Amino acid sequence: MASHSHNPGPLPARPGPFGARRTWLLAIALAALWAAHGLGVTLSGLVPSGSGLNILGEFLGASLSPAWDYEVVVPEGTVALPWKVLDALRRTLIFAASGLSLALLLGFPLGIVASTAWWKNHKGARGERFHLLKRWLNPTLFVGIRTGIALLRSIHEVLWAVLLLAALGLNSFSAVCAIALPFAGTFAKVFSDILDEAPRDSADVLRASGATEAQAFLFGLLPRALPDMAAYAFYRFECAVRSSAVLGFFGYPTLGYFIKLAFDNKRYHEVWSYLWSLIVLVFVLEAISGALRRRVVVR
Amino acid sequence: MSPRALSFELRAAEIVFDGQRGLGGLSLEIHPGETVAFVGPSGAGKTSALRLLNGMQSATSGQVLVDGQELAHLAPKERRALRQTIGYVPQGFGLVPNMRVAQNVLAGRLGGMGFWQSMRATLRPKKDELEEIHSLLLRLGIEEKLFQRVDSLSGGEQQRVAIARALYQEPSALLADEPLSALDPSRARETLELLSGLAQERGLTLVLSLHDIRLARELLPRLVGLRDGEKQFDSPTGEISDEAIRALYELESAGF
Repeated sequence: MASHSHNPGPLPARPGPFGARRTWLLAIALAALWAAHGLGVTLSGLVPSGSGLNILGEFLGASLSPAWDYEVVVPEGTVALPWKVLDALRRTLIFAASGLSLALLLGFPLGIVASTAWWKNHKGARGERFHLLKRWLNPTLFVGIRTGIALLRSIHEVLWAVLLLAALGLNSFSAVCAIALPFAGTFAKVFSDILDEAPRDSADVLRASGATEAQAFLFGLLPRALPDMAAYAFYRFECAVRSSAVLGFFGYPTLGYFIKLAFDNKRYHEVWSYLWSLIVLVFVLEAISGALRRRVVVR
Repeated sequence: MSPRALSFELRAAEIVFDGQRGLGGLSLEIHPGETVAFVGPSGAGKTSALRLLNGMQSATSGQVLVDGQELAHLAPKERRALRQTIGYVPQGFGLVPNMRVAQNVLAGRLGGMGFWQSMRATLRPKKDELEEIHSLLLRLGIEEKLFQRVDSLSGGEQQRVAIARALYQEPSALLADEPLSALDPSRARETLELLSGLAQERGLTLVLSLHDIRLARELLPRLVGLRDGEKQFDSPTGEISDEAIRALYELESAGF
């Protein structure tokens, strides 16, 4: 390099060894150590006891040979195990699909009214009807909706299941709601984010050509967000299937129920029949929803 | 022919962005049926000046008159009615890429429609609507694209869809922001000829913002030179000297 031409002068001040980022990382690491100490977490807790080791070995050993028939004698007339597994899969899918449909029904409109893009253009411009009322009421509504959505999704579906089971009893509707409510909250949150990040130029042109704010939103902004919303909904279906399977542990007739029953009776090979079928189902759904996601994406 | 072309007038219109002046008191008159282009280097305020004319940008001070009415004094409903008579082709086209060409063109007329009617038109366009769009596309040379998704079209084709949308509005004036920026030189000439031809045919007032001065001087009758938000000249193209053009685009600090 041409080091002779200019004297570059002294270096700019060098940052100290304890910048903000390092300090934060150190603080987080210390907090983790402190929490582990407080909870009495030790490495020896990871080593299973003798009998636990046996169960673990037996259980994992069974994974390679899932049952094709019942491991114990069953009453005359019981359906063959593969059919029972398929039926459990079917029920799992039905609960997931119902829960997700209801979640979409709730989450889609909630997502729209939770987006800042919606309210930004409904803030009560001068000359509009009821503009003073709107100016006061709209921010209140917006905060209320956002809070409601946060409540919906801050409670996990398993907790919803416990609550609804207590309130409504063991019926299909309570299971569907247990999936639908937290999923609706997540949909509303993610949909509103997608709407707020969607390009605004199409809505802008509509406004420029004399369309109302509602038209600009519905025909300019919403179509730009729909592909991402659809892709997210496909992805959430996989999550709903897993949640639906887990809800079986509370007694709903999905995969979880049969897994728990078989596990409690130490019929590990049957457990693996259900587990493997769930794994295959999730893989198949992933392939399908991946293909659908690629189709809806905007080139 | 549209009922009657629109006139525009700016009176000392000024735009201030975050304390910085984007456009200094700009005054000019654009007569009905006239074709005018704002020219100048990037950042000169061409787009802002153009967007003043349909009220997409409001003036910090000064007045904007369209067809003799002051924009700032219009109620939202009156403003919408006025905007329905002004077609706008923005620089990025503002199309919905995941919808079909027909739906995008139809959007030009949503302004006058109620909620259900706009739903119906977007989701299930009628035969006569499609025929009208088809003949517009035919004029623009992309009639075979009627049912294609916009994101499968080239940049030039997309621009024609945006022009078709503005024309479907049956406007009395057309505003086009940098309509040549995405095109190669031969396409640029073609597009500028197309726009001014359309304005002639339909008796529209046409206002453009253009970066490319050469084509503007060759094809357009009147140019308004802007630099750093200030008007440098405003005259018939024939009267603008090479010197004035050079000064318009000269780099600020030529002391390298």
